[in-house]
Amino acid sequence: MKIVANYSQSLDIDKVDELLICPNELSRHGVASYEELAPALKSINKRKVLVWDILMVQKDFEYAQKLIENIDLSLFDSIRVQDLGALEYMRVEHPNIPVQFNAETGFHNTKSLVAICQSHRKLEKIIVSLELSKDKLKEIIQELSPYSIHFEIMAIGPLLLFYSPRNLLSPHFNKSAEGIISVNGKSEETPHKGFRITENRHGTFMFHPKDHSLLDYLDELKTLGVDHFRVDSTELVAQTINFIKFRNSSDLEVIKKSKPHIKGYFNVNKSDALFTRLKNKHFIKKEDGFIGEVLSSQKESYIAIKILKEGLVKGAPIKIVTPEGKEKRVLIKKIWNSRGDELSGSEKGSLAYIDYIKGVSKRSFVYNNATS
Amino acid sequence: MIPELLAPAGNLEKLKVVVSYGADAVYLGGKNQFGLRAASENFTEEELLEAVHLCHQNNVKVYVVLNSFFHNKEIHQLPLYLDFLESIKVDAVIVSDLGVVELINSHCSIPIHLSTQSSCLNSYSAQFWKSRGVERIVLGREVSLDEAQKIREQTDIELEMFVHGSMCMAYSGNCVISNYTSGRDSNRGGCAHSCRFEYELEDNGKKVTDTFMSSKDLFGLRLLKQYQKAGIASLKIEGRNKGPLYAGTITKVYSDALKVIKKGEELTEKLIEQWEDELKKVSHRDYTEASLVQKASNDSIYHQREESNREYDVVGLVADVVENEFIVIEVRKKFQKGETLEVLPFNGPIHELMASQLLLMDSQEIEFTNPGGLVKVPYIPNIAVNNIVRKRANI
Repeated sequence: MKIVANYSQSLDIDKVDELLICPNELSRHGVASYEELAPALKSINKRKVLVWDILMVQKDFEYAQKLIENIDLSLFDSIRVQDLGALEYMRVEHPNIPVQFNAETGFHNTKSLVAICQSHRKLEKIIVSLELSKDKLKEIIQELSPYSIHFEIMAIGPLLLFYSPRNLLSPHFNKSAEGIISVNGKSEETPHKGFRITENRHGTFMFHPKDHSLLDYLDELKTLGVDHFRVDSTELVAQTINFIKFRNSSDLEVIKKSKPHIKGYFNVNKSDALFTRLKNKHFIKKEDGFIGEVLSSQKESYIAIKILKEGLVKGAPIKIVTPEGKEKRVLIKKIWNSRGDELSGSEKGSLAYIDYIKGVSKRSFVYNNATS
Repeated sequence: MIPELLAPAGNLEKLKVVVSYGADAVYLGGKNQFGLRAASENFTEEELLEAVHLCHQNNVKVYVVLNSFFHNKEIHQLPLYLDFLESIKVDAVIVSDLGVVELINSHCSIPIHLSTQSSCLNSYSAQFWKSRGVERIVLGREVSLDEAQKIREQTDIELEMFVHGSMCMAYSGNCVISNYTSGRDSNRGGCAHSCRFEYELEDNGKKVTDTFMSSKDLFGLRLLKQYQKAGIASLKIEGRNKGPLYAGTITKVYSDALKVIKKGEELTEKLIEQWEDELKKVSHRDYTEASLVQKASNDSIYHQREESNREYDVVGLVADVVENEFIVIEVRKKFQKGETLEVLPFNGPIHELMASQLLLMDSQEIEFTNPGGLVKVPYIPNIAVNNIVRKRANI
């Protein structure tokens, strides 16, 4: 069980297995510049990972590319990327440098991660999404076993909800000397308050009011195949690392009492459950015998039908299904057009009228009763 | 090369409207969880079949969105649907997920367009997707036209860009607010539009209440020549959830503008102003060119809660035309006898229609209409079934 943490001067480096070096030019949450970080790097005797996790439009990519070309990449054991352009750049320009791929956003199936594994022969680690429940995580890690790569998950830390390149806070607030703005946000939707929102050179980031913690599930995650645990918290870092290493319950208590946490979708992800309720199933048309749709229903007067398929025929039986799913079966005694001329049948694309039928409303569907 | 005009089709009715008003291609979603508009009406398989038939008859291409981020469960459900889409000869599918791209490549030969949801922003990223078999990339809305040109030159891949409509404030695919506040996966069609909400922001005692994450709507009309110069193959109008008036009006304006370019004529200021007037008549937020020319600045933020800018309301669609006698309108919004209406023909200038007489279908005279009913209004020439009928909004 390896521990990954962001490098900072206050971090007890000896207790960490992998250090994330986050220059603010390349890393979305980096504070110091590469120039400021560089002097300390040679003396750190730990695995060091250069974090290049910003998303980049062409101009920003060209800037980052120049910076990368001027960095001594031999100082690092691996480069961590999220933008697929950065992954491709590393494959093409630095094919022998190991890379880690941040798949926290948009990679929720085995096929996509297999494709990532196949896309770069020096891929050493995937950082998995927190939206994967433990069952899905298990399935994916098992299926990726032929690729002999490592898996990392954020064990505890702020949960990123939103990443925009636009500067959304500076119209209202002043930047700090470091060029950062950090505020608390409360949504008009109760009870959502306490969002931490920050703006820096890469744009605006919004975090969940509660930190995400999987500290209660570390052993379970290890069993699933996750072997790297990242500490993104900026508070109680020492206790958190201690807990991951030694499982001292008093450390966990201190962490839990310090602020509220969520475990997100670790047990189950039902965030697609609502979709079926968003749809009215009765709007689904049947395959056979569909004639058209009721455009208007005038009480005691007429039903107007937009003829979309086969023609309506005088004397034929029809079935009408209302939006509520009720069925009406009638024999057509009379058909007429908008002028009031009586017709023997009606052609596709025309508007046809039949006698009023109680209970039939706009958006009801009309079928040929002989075939439906 | 004149770019293709790609219009949204939230349902069959809207599809017919945008095809009539000049779309070269439409994009639409099936009634499943594979697209990003779960609340939109979308298409049954039968409707899809009809849509493809109708579009191909009119030389219009059909692209089907499968742009969710898939979980394994949905990946397993997809092959059957792909078989169906291939059998009805859709022209392409729009995909975000790398796993879906892999599946399609191994399962069928439907061309793949990469959705903007994948936030493809640079030439290395475009090269990555091209190497995976993607034929067209819908660039992220953060990419400028100059950058798009560079991406195209460096990768020689077909590019599509948004030209008009609502925009995500976040990098597309990088917002999960709905997932954690509403339990709805924003990347599987459940976006709750939390970025449009009002937020109270607080720092050191200073409080600000604002819709600070809400973007103005994209407006690329004045930049059509630059899109063309950048070699953009397709111009996309956002709005599968919008109504037929919106879809029809926007499609007509951009279609008319592209026709002028096609003829080799100038997009004069007078023409652009006329089109701008038309665009202002449908519901919209304030407009912005966002990042098309330079990085979107503070003035791209929309500081209002709702999209209230609307000069006109749709009052109905033409349901029937009886030559030289009367026009039947399927009424969507109430209007009164004596009001002046406007009819949007599929081509050419707007027609004014005086509702000097309102008759029910049994010829009973009425003073005002009711939504849901049919009404006969006096005949004017050059009107066709499915033309949009509108009136000035009572603001």
